[in-house]
Amino acid sequence: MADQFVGDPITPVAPTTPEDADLAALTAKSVPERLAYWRAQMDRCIRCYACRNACPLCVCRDHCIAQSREPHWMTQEDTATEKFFFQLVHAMHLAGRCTECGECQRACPMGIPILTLKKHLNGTIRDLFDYQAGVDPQAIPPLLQFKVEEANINERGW
Amino acid sequence: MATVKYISHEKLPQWLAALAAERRLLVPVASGDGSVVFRPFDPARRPVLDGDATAPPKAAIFPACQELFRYEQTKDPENPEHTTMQLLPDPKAVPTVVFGARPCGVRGFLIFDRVYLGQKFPDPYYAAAREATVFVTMACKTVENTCFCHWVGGGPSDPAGSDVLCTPVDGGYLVEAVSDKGAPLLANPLLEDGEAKVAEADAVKGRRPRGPGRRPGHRECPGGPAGRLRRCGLLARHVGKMHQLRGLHLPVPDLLLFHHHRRTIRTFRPTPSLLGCLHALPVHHGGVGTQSPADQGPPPENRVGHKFSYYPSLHEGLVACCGCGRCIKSCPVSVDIREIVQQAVARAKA
Amino acid sequence: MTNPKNPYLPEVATILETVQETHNIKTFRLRFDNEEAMQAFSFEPGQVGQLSCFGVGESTFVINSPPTRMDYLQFSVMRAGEVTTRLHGLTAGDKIGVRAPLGNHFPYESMKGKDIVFVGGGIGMAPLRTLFLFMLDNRADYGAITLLYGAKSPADMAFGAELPEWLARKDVNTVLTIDREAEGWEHRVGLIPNVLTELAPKPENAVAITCGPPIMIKFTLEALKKLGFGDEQIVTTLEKRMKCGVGICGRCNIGTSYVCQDGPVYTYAQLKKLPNEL
Repeated sequence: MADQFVGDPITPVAPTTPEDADLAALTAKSVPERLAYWRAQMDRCIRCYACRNACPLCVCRDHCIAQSREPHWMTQEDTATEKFFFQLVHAMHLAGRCTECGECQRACPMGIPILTLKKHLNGTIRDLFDYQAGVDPQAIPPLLQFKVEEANINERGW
Repeated sequence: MATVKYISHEKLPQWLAALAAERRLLVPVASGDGSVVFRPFDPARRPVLDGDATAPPKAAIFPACQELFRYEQTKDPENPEHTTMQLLPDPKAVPTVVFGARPCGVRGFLIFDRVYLGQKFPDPYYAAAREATVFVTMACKTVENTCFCHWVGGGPSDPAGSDVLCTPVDGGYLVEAVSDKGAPLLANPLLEDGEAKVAEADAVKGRRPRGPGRRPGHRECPGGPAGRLRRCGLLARHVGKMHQLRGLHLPVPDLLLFHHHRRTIRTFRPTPSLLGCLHALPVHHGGVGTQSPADQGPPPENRVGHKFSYYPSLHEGLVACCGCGRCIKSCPVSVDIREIVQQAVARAKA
Repeated sequence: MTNPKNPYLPEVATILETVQETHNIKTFRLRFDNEEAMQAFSFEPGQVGQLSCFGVGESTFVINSPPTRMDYLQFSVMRAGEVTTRLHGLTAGDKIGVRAPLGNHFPYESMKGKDIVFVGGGIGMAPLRTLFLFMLDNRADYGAITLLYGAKSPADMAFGAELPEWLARKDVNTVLTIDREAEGWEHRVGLIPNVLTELAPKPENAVAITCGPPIMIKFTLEALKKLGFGDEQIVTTLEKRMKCGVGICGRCNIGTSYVCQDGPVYTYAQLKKLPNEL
């Protein structure tokens, strides 16, 4: 997508490490292992919110759950639980919109692999709605449309 | 003459294990994607001692969240209308050794001491933790281009605030007691006599850091750099950068200084939050008179103001910055606090 | 008294009674559970306290009653957010925490022998009430006392139960005003700064103490200056989000001035020197 394209298009080069190696490693773990992993990761989060601030698709602005008093979603406790809760909500808010720009992870001063969470949710969106954000300007995002019968959600057959 | 000891790299893990046997020992360890944080000693995790940790050892004395007291309410069974409320504070601290902090990180506590161990209302929790903590500091062999400890009164081998100072030499570290609290740590037989290494250590300590530009001399700025910042709109450019970061306000933990959670009252201290410069949204309270909720002006102003202007005005010119450079290293939009202060001083002179 | 050993520890108090002043202002009268602490407690008019709603949080409020009337400590709370809403839910018999006295106080010593002009708007009457009653209890020390109290409407006037007594007193000139005409209202109608200008108190040997919403303060200050009041003759009290209340955390700072230490009472002369963050 461009109004003006400068120069010649570059042929994409396959990265040496598989792009989703982090996601693959995570999915290989059992659910309790994953929880332990995230508790360990979020332990060093300092709640600077660089991840939130760097995200181009974060839109709650002054009403972010991280600082809302009414309703009071999160406490200021320095626990992995509170910090992980924020990451989960953030990822959910971005589901179907995140383009995996990676700024959240790049901005994190403590090197926490939060992009993995968003990649996981994007995978779920792909599976459910055959949709990937930022790829096709003509595709309608799942939350902006309503289908009486979803192609991949078999409500009656289950 | 003060005792000077030496510990080799090979013997260091044993010394750490010995220290950990008696007290909580915090050491810098690798924690994922290059970050290094202070954690309780684990013999299976090798401490990272060749560079400053990503986060400082602030939590050893000044945790981001701390229980101030518990409260219990009991009803009198004979007279249910009558309740008693009991407050149960516990300012006791865990005896701790912080191993492997840098002079800048330890110097930070001297800055806090002036406030938290002040004359009128000393903080008993801080005082207890301070008393119970021993700092074994690692002098810096190399200096990064974001370091500016020498601008704010410190230095790569500054012992101020440390209890023991270790200087890297060939094969190990020179170990010197700096305070009475630190001296007993040198008694461990794993440490050998260090006389032979003194000259080499002095050479390491003598290296002057080459920071960019001239030391700014904040005293040259009457009314403080913060005053200049406001008047000349200097911060507009820096705030602009922050707005590239979508300029969302950050909840600085000290906003909810007293958080009531179930039956404990906790305090939330300012974390070494790099974007803590983007201050919190005002919390709406009623109260004395009324005033616009627009509290402290543009947030980065208040952070720079506190560190380089207000604190020095209140504390005999001491700058509330240890020059560790973390904020510069980690800022996603390259806001450099040195640039801000230098420009403010330059404009003040102009 | 603020515990010097542990300044973060509140004194546990029990609410004796509450008064619903307006739809969003509620007054609390309380006494410490520890009788010894209550007897030992002293404060100066203008000082504030941090009230703890256990399990919710703390907020700053002026000690609304004067030190000359120590049957209880009074605080008037405007409902504005999470803590104040929960405070409003408390009634007689409930426990509340108090960390007080904090901050500086009205310089009443230097006001002795002078004419006093109180100008209060809405909840701004709360800190003025302390000094007003203190002065009435020491009436001989002060000259002519004028109280100008304004609110949006009669329903927004706090301390309604006491207003008739204040109006009836011959030794003070109490003037009440509301913004717009209201049925049954027998007193003045008009914005506070305008009524102040009409009253035209003389600045010679006088002191003006004002408190209220920012917009009211702004125009009241202008009116006072036009009437000839000097910067040193105008006193106000600031609201600032305090947290520790003891000069440590820096939350309440305006530049180098900590409102919990150098304030909340400031003269206009002092305010002018502070950075423009108000």
